[in-house]
Amino acid sequence: MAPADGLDPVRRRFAEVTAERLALIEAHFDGERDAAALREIGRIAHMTAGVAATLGHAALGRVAGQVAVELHLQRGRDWRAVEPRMRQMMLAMRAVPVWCEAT
Amino acid sequence: MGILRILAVDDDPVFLMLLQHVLGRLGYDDVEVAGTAAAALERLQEEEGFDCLLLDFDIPGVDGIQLCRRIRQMQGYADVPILMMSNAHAASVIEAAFAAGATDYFTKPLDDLELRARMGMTARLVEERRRRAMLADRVHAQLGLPDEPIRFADPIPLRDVPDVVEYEALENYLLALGRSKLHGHAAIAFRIGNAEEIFAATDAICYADVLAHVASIIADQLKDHEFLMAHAGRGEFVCITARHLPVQAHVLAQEIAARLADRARIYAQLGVPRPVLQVGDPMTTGLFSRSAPSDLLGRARRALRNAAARQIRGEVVV
Repeated sequence: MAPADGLDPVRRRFAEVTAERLALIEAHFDGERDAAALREIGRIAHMTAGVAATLGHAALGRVAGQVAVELHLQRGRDWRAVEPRMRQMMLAMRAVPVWCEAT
Repeated sequence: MGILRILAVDDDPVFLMLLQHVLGRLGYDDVEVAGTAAAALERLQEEEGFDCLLLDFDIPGVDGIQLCRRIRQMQGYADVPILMMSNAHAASVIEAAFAAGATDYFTKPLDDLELRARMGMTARLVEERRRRAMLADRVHAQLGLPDEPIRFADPIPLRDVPDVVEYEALENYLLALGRSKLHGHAAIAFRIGNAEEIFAATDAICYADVLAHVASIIADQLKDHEFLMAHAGRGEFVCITARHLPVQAHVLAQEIAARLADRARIYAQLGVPRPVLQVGDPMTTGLFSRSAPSDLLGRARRALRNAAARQIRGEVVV
């Protein structure tokens, strides 16, 4: 059950945006794995980390924060070094709409 | 709680939606949002009436730090509270925010308690400024005074000196650093020993110019080090630096005195007593200190005041 805190409209919007962002990341995984792709994924991770925990997705917030920091530190040079963490983040992102539909 | 008109700037529409919601829950309903720095600047140019700005640190293009600097130069926004928001906890990020003119800083994800405290402080600051402005208007209307009256004890803000921030902002900086990171820093107090004499001999504008001159000399002496400084009132400045500053207080004092002596003739021409600057020893906190981070500023000032008083009484100051 989602808590009755009046945040449901924000949670719904977050779920929609997360699905769009996940599709973007998947497209990068299937396409050019270059620095520009890593920059965009870093930005998505950064934005996700800023709100996920407040909306009840603490695990997603944590892993997104780690991806954002790792990508920031290595400045988009090494896709493979961050790939496991990015996959963890994608997994957590996939869970968001399911969680919202169930509530 | 007074009503605050707030402009929040962030490139994430979900975060802005969440922020509006959380602020609304805390009683701040008048919140406009902008998704880019350009949109924010446009909105601020259209209207001067915002009481508080919340800026994300990491907006693409013109980032939050650059945006903060630009806003500070805009008419009507020199002292409007600006709160920076960021995912990062790094001391360098926090210091950059305050050096750019931020009044306060909080981290994402949003924490209701932290946001309530920060916004509460901001609301009190805005309320106090409104009250002072109303009082000044009333006094000027009654007496026809041209200048805003200032009191000797006021922490007069010095806006045009690099790395000098308002005293409240310096306190907020220490709070944002937290006790563990504060351990790596020291507070050094500087005091114009004859500040009261200068205050009595000049008008408000000239006194503020003297403070700015002294602050710029101190800032120049520290320019090779990371620091933030504020005027605390009574001709006292407090500076936050790295814990182990490779310059000794007496050497700093000698260099600053030499710079002030260079301007002796100008002070004489203006009929203003030449400032005599005293420099305190760096004050630090223990790793497990239980006192509030901002107490460090007060301790540094008190220690220098006491040392100066002992010197006047002829006691040996070690």
